[in-house]
Amino acid sequence: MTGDTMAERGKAEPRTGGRVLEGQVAIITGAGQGIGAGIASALAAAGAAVVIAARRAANGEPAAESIRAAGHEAVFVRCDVTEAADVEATVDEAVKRFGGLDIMVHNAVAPAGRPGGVQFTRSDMIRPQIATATTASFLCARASLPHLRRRPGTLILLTSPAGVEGSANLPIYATVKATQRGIVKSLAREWGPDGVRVNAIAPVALTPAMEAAVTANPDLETRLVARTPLGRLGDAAADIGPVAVFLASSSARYVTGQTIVADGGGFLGL
Amino acid sequence: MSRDVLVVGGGDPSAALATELSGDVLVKAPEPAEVDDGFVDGLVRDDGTPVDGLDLVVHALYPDRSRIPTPIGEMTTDDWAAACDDPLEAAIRVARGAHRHLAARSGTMVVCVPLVGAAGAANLVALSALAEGLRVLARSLARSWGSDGIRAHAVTLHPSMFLSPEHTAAAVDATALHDAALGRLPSAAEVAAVIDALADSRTAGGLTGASLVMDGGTWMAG
Repeated sequence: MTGDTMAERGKAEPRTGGRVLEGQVAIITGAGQGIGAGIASALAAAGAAVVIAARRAANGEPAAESIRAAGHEAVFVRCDVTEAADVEATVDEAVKRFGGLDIMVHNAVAPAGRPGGVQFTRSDMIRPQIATATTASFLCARASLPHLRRRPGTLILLTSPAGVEGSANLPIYATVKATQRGIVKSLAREWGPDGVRVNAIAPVALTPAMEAAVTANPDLETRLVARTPLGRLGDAAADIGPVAVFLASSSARYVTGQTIVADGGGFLGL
Repeated sequence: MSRDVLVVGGGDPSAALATELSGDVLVKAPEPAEVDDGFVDGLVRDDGTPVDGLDLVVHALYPDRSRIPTPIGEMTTDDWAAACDDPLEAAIRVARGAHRHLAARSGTMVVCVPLVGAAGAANLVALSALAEGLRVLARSLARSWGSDGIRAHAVTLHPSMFLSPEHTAAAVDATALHDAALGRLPSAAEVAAVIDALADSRTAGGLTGASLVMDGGTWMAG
């Protein structure tokens, strides 16, 4: 039985409809922690063999081990998503080890830096955000396309509500997250004839990055929760992971080019 | 006092809009990779005077590489950078540099974007990414610059204002656009008139963060 409070109910085990991804292979970038790790856990619990693609083994190995300890298939591959060779090697490794690729999830993004207007963003923090969100989406798409066409599979990009409505305090982050929505819509049109679906998830969840932001600004969580109809911040594995499972599964076989906002109802503008 | 306007971008729609906008219009078409934070501060008018304060900045910097349809599987990393990443960063740096000039005049920034961003278009993924990024950049600028008295908007235009006729036909097919409800597309003069109105605090002083679609009614999504 789940807890009585809203927060406890949010921690309930994800209901993913059983092993709906049995036999499938997934790569999740930025899966060493936070939302990427939550999505990897959910995809693995749904039956997919998962590749934890992360820049640092210190995060990636434990994330993969945690999934294996739960009885699922997972492997860590070191990957800097801004490097074409790394992304291609990660795809090659997934295909070599598991026999193909069905699901490519690009989640990694560089830190947004200190909140503030665009004129206050540190100059050297602009290009890394473009590289990890925009360039890397292109690299992940290009590298996975031949394999996704064969299955046919699906590409999922992690965007943000800020990528729709903009952000006063994280304007570069909002901008690069918006580029991913443009990529999703156009790739959905480009790849649709091959049966490859492309969608985005715009989550809000309590991740290590969010916890750091809350620590720095204790009012942040209160303000975020206050604008969230479900009254709590999301849980990466229990709330966001199942959305990825749905988009990757045959239940979503007629869904492409869409952004699913998984934020407890905070953003209602679509 | 004459209104000082900066248009950033080469070719259309920048060229067409520059001839129709009201005020003292300065047009600059830098290579995106060359735009840095000092770009606006370094601008000089034809008479040799430096730019010092701007009432309106219209950003429509789209390099040729953005405008050529290419399947994503055929794009190199350099292609992608030239078509999307470099002009995206250039827009951010133009905005950073323009801030103090706009704040000095309680000015307005308008970003012109092609409809392929909001609607999606096969083989124009890089242009779509750039367009959506710029559209939301305008919203973020509106949110953070409002307290400085600066307003910011995005104006979404039909692909024909950015692409060659041949590529426009492909983009319209790829985007599955309807025929224009008005039976025609807006002229550059009509688009410029709307931008002029957006920059006029008497008519649009209470408006910021708008995302207007000026396409004659081909795309009417919410």
